[in-house]
Amino acid sequence: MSVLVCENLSKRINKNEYIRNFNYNFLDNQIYAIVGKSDSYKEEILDLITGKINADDGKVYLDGQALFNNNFISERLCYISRNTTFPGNIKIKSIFKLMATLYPKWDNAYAFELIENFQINPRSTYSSLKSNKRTLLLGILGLASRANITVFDNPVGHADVKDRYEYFKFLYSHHERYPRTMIMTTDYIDELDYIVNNILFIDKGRLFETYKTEDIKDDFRYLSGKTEVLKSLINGIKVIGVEERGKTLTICIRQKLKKDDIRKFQKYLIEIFDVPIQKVFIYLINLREVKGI
Amino acid sequence: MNVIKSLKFHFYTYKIPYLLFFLFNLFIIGISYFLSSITEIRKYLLIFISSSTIIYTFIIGYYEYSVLNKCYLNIKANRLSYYFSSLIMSFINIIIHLLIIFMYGYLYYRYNFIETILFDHTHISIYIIYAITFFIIFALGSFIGLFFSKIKLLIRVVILLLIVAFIFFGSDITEFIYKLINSIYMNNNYIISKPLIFSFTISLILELIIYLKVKELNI
Repeated sequence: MSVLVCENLSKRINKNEYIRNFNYNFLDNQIYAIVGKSDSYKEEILDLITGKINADDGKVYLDGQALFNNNFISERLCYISRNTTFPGNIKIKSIFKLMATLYPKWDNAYAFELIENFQINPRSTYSSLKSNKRTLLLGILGLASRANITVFDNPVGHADVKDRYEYFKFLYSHHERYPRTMIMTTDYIDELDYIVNNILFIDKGRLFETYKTEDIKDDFRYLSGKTEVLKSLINGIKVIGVEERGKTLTICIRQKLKKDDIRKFQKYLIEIFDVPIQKVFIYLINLREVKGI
Repeated sequence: MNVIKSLKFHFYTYKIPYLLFFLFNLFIIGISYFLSSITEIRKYLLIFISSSTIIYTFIIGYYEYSVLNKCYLNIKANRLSYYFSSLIMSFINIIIHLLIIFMYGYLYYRYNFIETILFDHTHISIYIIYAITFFIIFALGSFIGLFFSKIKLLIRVVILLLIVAFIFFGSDITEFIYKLINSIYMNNNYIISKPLIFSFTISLILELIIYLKVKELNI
């Protein structure tokens, strides 16, 4: 059981501060997803919070101890970045042996179970794996490490949709069995929404919104119906996104709907449904761009 | 700092390449045995052996800080433990090569097919000279790997130059090494010979620069 505290993290390149005042406490046994555009520096934030690079300002504490260059506590944290790789001639089973020396809670049987499921031959070398198998293998290493804090940079990003689905199912059940803190950036947040407890939205190196997954489902709703009808009903409602297809208008509102509101919309044949998290992110980013933030 | 964990990373990476290199040397010894009657071949064999060990050591040193450090530090951000394990790896590399030199010397002496001072396994100075040579070559490879690995062309050019140098000037290089070894060999105070002290000092400086860079490294 571990807690990761990030205090005012900033990082600069040539006086250009690309990560600004990142403050967040990653609590025990929770799963966090970090969502951001490709230029949001989310990978660099992971590098900072895992102690891979040092912050220019601020500090990261793992269980109360400064993390950077602290070898005594680093085995509690496993970071699978998109740059994680192994020498091409190493066999998969040797990688497992290696991981067992690096992580005291390494679950070898589970690692073999997963590679069998994803049809990865333990005798094959790392270089002989195709990119989808490599990305799965790295995901497996993160899971089987059973480190108190496991950090993934877009886990199984190169795997196909079926393998991703399978992997996330394994991730969910493994977390149920061995609860621990997981932090991941992802481009597939809607495939993970049943797993993730907290979502962090990042833009240009800044944390601009955080949500609990259940809150995001309540706070943001889609309303969809005939354009003229819907337009006449949304006065005073905070609309963050609009999509018009033919005569049908769909709007995303940022508001908890009361029973009376729901009845009113239903009376006018307005559909109400959940907004995918990815869409919430896109609308919020668009708003920031409109405001010039 | 747990150097053992980092050393295991080296072990799993290099166990096959070193085994292959060892088998390659056994193969060369076998060839030496069968071709020892041809005088010209002897000379080229000696050139081949010295060039292959030097190029192999250089490539391993380069690989340490151009590829392997990124692999290790991406899975475990313990910079200093990697540095010290790499330094130990350089000593292990020296020991393996000295064993191969011993093997050459012993077998050449035992079966009497090539007599050369280059592989005189009975004299300790030979081991000291080789140890320092491998140390500086490994350090040089690491230094180039750390600071110039982004210039992909550079390493290819360096290796190509080494190969070309050994092809065209192999006999001169071997002659030079021979003379160097001979001069040190004949000198009882070989420990304080100038070339050895100079090479050793350069190696230490290179290692110090690598240490300072690795300490602040953001992989």
